[in-house]
Amino acid sequence: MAAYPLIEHKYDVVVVGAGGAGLRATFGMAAEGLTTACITKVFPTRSHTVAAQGGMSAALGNMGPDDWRWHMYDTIKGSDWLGDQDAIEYMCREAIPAVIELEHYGVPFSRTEDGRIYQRPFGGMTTNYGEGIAQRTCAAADRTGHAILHTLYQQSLKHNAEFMIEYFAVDLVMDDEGVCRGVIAWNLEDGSLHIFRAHQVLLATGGYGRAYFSCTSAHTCTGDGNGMILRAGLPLQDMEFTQFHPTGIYGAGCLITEGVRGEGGYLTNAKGERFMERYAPNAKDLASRDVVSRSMTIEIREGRGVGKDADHIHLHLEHLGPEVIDERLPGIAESAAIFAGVDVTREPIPVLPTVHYNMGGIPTNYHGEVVTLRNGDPDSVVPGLMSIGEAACVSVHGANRLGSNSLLDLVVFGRAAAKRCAATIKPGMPHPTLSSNATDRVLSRFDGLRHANGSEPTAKLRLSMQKIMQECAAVFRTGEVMEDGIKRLREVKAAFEHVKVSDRSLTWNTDLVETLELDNLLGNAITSIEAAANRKESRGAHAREDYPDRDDENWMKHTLTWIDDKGNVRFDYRPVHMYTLSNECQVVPPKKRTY
Amino acid sequence: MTAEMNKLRWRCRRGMRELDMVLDRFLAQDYPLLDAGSKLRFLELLEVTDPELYDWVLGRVAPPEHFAGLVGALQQHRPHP
Repeated sequence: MAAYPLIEHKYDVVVVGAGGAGLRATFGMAAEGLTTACITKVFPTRSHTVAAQGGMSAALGNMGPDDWRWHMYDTIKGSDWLGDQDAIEYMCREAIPAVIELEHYGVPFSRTEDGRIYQRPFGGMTTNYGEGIAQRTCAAADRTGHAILHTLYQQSLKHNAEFMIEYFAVDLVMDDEGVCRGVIAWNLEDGSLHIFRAHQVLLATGGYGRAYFSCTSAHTCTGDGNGMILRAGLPLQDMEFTQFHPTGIYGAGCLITEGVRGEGGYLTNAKGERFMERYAPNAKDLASRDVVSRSMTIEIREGRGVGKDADHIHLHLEHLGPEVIDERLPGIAESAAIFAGVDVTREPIPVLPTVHYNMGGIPTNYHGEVVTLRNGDPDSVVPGLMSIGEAACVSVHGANRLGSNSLLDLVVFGRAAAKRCAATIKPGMPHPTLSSNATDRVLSRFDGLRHANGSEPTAKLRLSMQKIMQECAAVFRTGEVMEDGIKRLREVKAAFEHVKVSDRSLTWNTDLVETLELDNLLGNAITSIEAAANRKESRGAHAREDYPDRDDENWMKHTLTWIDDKGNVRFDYRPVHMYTLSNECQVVPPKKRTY
Repeated sequence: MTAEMNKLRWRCRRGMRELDMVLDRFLAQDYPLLDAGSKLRFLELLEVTDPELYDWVLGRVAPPEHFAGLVGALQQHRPHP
């Protein structure tokens, strides 16, 4: 193996990822006086959070009566009772101060005429435990994600957080006792390798949408943190739950925000029928995303899709009028014109459910600490390791996330993680010495892939994986189709042993970066489809045709999935937390989920 | 030269899928044909934030004059011109 001199850095905390979650944590930790480094493969404001247009939920009650307990109820119901109720209580309660803080830091939220933060309706958000439609989602026009990223990046710099930009995090450094001691990262610009020692490594690496052929995610969403967790011998949780957003533009995958339906947009089939009225008589087009995506899929499958191949659905905004579209939904008209070729003031947008969000990920408690099942303890904390944001599975979204609960998740748990570190780390604590074993295995894998001289190009393997996931782990799933997918995905995994990396250099070697990313994506894809085949019920976004009902008796539990070097998986389970943190709210017992 | 192209490929990775799509196509098809000055200007264009660049590509906002040519070329890579 080539020699790789490691440049050592010591911090109190190292954050991997500079999206909304990573930046909120970085800023919070730096503000607490902890020395904090944030490692990111792309420039912070180019993280995928920038694409979040819709907004961030919080029961501020600016538009009418609201209560964080109603928000909690909606989130539990949205999760199809797979969400941990202690964590959901924490998120919905802390949403309120978290939004107010963001406003003070400088996020330019849209306002009502009397100067309060404007709030819009979003799918699944109700008042009085399901009775009315809530207006709970705060937005900074159509660029909420960007405004949050920009503000938090500026705040982080102001508090002297250090940014390692265009560094690719390769792997965690785990000691023999299973404690995380740091992370190894590769500087893409000059080719140097670095070890970042930290008392806590916090993974805020986002989702793995690129495991699918058609997704709303940017190229950068490759589930790198999840891949690192699997290689560290730790499990991922609830990987079978993938959210399909109802309104991806047909053919392009680009997202049309749920805010469009929040402002009165609706879906029709080939007969011009507003079919959501049949599937969700109360919430209609604003039912939860999984419900809308399944309804659309059924309409298409039963021959009522639109277009020459009857394979998609129409989204209407024409009735809203150009003024409302322009004022409340800026940019929608232009993006529909360009990516769908339609004039939204005159004709509907062709849409199709598109992979959008991963509910599953790295299991954590509501402080952001990574947990695993160890010696019978399902809440055993992995020392030195935290995770937040889409990479993590707290689990507040359970089997299905509600729109505008994602930006909320990022901010609330980024903030929680910072508070936890402030409480547990004394600034400048010494770092224990590290044996070279811990770093050798990381470097040897890196070197192996750098010199991979097989016959299979990375792009070809990635496309095979994406097509398999698209075909075999779709909106509706069956055991037979998934077993076929698993078999084919195992072949891709085997072929990855013979991957070919053409570029041997260390500077701007995008071939090697994409190969490391593919390795991460493959771990995500395999655990996702295997867990999906393993869960023999339908719940939230996981809809099995061969097991159409929710089965609380056998399956109201979190799946943990481990994977070995050969790609073989192992399952175990954690109980769903059916308790609250305080007596200010009550556990919501499972019931049938209708909208 | 390869390293330079790879660096550009990496910088064309954006936070928004829509920009990924447009920039990838531009980089592969148009970039190699640009003169040296335009190549430098493209690197400069990549420093612009995603929402700003997206507004230019959508035609919602006119770009500054020195980017007008490049943005015009990017707009040719929209799937439905």
